[in-house]
Amino acid sequence: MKATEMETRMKINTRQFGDLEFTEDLVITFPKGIIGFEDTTRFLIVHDEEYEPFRWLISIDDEEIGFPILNPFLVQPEYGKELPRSYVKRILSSEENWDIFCVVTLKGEGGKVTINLKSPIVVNYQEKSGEQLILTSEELQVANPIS
Amino acid sequence: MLVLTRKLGQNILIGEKISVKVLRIDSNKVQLGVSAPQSIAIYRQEIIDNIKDFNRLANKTDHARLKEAARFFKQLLGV
Repeated sequence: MKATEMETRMKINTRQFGDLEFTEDLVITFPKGIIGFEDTTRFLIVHDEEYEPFRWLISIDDEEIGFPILNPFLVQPEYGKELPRSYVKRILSSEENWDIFCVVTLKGEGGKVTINLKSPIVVNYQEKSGEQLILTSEELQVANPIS
Repeated sequence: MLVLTRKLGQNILIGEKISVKVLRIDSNKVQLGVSAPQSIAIYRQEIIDNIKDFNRLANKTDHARLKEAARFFKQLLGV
């Protein structure tokens, strides 16, 4: 019997997508959780055409928790310069698959998008782990309006 | 909370590897020098508070409005 046949499909109910089915291999573990949400450590990264280029970081531990995220390179192509060198070395040298995301919020009536470039989320798909870093650059702000 | 009074130039040792020194005192602010191993992160409290607030706000995002923002973005990016 193949391992895949034995994989249980789990289900959670999310505020954003209603019922979401997934398998364990999709789960990303954040040992330290997310800043301000340290108790939620297991997440899914959800893509949905209707939200692209935004994606969602959805908590499996708590149905109320989910964050819209965006690839920061779409709004700041030079963002790589801000990342700690230890990460950049690993990301460039390894054959592992990484992603960098930043949390976004919508503000005001116009729904202006604001992106947090100060503390990106780094995900390693091989290790299935993630963390939210705080970058040291003094110039980086938490709330950066896009357009 | 442990409350200590220090004069200019005096030090506080935290554990075996962290120290905080008073470098300068102005009327309404203090300049502190913090020595710690690379493995220990040092942040201004406000940054952590700002990030927490930002994450909390993001958690409350109205998904219908995010879809609108996504449509607008796709146009912007020419995707």
